[in-house]
Amino acid sequence: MTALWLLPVFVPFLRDPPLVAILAAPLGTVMLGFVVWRSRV
Amino acid sequence: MIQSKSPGGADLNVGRPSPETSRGIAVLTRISGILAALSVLGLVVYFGAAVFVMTSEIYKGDVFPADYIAFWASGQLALDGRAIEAFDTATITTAVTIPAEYDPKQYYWMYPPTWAAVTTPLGALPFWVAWPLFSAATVVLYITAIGRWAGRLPGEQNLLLAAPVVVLGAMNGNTGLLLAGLLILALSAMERERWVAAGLLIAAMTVKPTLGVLIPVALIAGGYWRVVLWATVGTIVFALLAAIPFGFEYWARFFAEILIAADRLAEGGIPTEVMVTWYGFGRALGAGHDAAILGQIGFSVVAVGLIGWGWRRGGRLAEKGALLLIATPLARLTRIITRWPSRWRGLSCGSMPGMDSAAASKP
Repeated sequence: MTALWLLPVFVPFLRDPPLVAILAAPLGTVMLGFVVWRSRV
Repeated sequence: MIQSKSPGGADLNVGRPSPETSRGIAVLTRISGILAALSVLGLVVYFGAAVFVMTSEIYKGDVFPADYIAFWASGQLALDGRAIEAFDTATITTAVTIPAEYDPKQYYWMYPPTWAAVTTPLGALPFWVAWPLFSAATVVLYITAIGRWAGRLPGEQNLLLAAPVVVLGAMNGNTGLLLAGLLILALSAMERERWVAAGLLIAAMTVKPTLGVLIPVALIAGGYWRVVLWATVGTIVFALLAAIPFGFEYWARFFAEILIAADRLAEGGIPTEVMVTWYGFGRALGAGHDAAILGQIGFSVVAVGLIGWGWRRGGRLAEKGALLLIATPLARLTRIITRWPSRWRGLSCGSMPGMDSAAASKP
């Protein structure tokens, strides 16, 4: 599960290639929800 | 390459790992090492080839395709006593020479003098030295910053080093790794209750104020008043120090320029496919500028609420920090707040200071 925490690092700053960049905002938002769900924030 | 010190000791937050889990961690650790090695090798080959090409006698140019070109060009202009002319797109674009085969593009400079104070000394070096040097420094800063928390990951920093963003960020020589590193270092300092260091690190992030939307929200909601204080003091001091060589007119021009940045965006002057925001997503799907802005504003309002709620509730700083790290690049508003949907425009930027002079100088 901890490995999944890598995804926020991989995704939000990704800028190239464009297809991946387009997916960055939805994936980043999903990861935001994941952090809220998994953490004790 | 960074070696893993404790491949079986990763913290999965699930108690003692089963043999299958331990085997999985060991496999992931090994893969992370291979990926990190490939990333480092790829960067060495890329920069080595670029430097080889640039230093050859037949190379007809002084720069190589990378985001760093704008930084280096601004340094050239500053060293020539024309620092403020970097804001003029035609001037900064012609300040460097790039071979026609590389499909030369326009370069934009929308940075405060605090960042010019960084790029100017590097401009004294040849591009083939300054660009790898800057990229290497940002990678080292980023990996160092994340190191404190990477011990919980299989292979520690290896997967982070292999992340596409690190490789692409280093190749381009942009500010992504630097700013991510500064924010992580600031969060790490807060975890150790080093408030002054945290505040000054956040103040240093103002070289790219684009990303500053959520950080004050988080600090205030969490009651980190000493960090707020030192970040404010640091920002003011850095701003004044930068004004000594560059002058306060540089600051005025900067604020004027960011007001027209969104106009360039609306007119297609800046590629939207490289934006990681919901604005970029909307434009990529064919939405208009105004509709995409509304989507971005909507997400940003939710992000502000989420960060405020998360940081106010408490919890571990690493978890609150993860929220902030993910949300910060997604909620950037700089190119958005300066250009409201057209029907509101007369109520907003039309009367903002510097707008007229900035528009007049627009290329």
